[in-house]
Amino acid sequence: MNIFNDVGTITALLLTLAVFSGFFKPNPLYHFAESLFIGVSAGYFAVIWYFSIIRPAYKSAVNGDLLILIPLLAGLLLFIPSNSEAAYSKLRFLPAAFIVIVTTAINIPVYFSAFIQEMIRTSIISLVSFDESGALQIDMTINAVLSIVCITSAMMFLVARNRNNNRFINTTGEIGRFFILVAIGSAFAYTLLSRLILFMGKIEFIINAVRMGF
Amino acid sequence: MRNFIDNISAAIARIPQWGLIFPILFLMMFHYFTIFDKNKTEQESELNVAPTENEMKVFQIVNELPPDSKVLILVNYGPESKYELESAMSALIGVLAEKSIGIAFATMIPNGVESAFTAVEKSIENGSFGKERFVYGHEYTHLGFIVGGNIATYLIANNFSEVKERDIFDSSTEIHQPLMSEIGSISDFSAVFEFSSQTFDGVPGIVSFAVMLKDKNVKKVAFCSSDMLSAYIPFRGSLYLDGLIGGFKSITVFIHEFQPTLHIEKQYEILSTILFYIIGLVIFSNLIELARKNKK
Repeated sequence: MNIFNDVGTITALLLTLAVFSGFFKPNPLYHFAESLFIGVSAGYFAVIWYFSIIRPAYKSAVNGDLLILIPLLAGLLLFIPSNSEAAYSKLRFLPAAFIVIVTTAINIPVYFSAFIQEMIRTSIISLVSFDESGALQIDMTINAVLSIVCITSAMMFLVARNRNNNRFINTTGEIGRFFILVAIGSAFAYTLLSRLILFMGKIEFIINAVRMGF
Repeated sequence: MRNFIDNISAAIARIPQWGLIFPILFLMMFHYFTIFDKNKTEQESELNVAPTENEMKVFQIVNELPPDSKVLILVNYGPESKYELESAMSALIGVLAEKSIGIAFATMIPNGVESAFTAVEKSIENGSFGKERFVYGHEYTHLGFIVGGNIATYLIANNFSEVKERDIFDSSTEIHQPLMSEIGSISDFSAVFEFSSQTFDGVPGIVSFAVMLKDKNVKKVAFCSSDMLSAYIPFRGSLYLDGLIGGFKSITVFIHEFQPTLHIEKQYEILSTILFYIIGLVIFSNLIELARKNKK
């Protein structure tokens, strides 16, 4: 199969090159690809939302499930202009408040269980680890000690450092600041890695398209 | 010596930012056409990275899935993480298909709708796909986009019978799909896998699913892209996550184990080299900066 017969592949190839041309400086080709991407994304999301929410809701209403009209009405209330002085304008707060309350009610138990309860549980570890034969596991022990130092010093930095003149707390807080920066740095590095993989994938796509085309 | 450093600093300062792309491109092209050219066969592809204990745990979970059982795959990634997660998902699909395990896909993000189908296609197109027929509705199904973030997670965990009523094509799963007619609740799945490149209100999808899930026997495994690793790693080894394959290295190890014909080792080698280049560049530019400061 000649891949250049595939209109989709040719279009994707040209658009990829058009986007990459933006590396040098913005040009009409780059702007065209950018606008096309925004337009196609908006269209795609509109279709997805229509088929996922509007169409099933409409079908339910047609089939006699009139309860669906309540969220529809609530949705429409959100469109009341915020600068409206009419007495009914306050009604727009009702659906907004409902969304905030439901989201909070669902998220609080999740946050509490996942970020507080489970994080405390997984932080309780033995400082010295031994394997089945009773020998010291040096890597696991270093890992455990480092974890405890990281957690306590980072907590010291966030909670107590600015409220205390104690030299020990300040020094520990500084160590905590170092670990926090390492965490932020590694998160940034992982994001860079992820984008690099995406870039590599696109380059591979171009190479394959050209290779199979000629 | 200082003149020499000054000259280098001045030369580097003149390089436009976009110019840095060329060494990356050069390295990428060079490695693409040279690495593995001499060992193209599946048997000779080698990966010089040993699986860690956590990765072994995921291997074990996948290997211990009973044949003819069912699994749920939450596809929470879009084209932005395609190159990382799609290969891993098609490798997993390959293993599951070989063991005749039924797969139900669902997504909680709008741009994840297509990802499941492209991964299935990739898996089938791969030469070593171990099944003659892989029919929609019988071997796999797609429940479509479940709207609502954490609310959707709650529905999947506790009210699955409502979620599975209709598939992505809006046809009744009870009538048209033998696969889904055997599923009543989430407990009927042996495992739930999440492929993710985003979190929901800061919480990984699989974690919020696990918090809301009453049946704790269902295995929960996450595959996340590199940029999500910092959100998923804190839950590794917790009650909410039985296994985690996070980031490109782990994904490479997983694919190498289960679908070596995808030749992911090549991308891994190229990426490692480019990362070394970037690290070198950072160290070099910092040395120049240091030299300039010393001079002042």
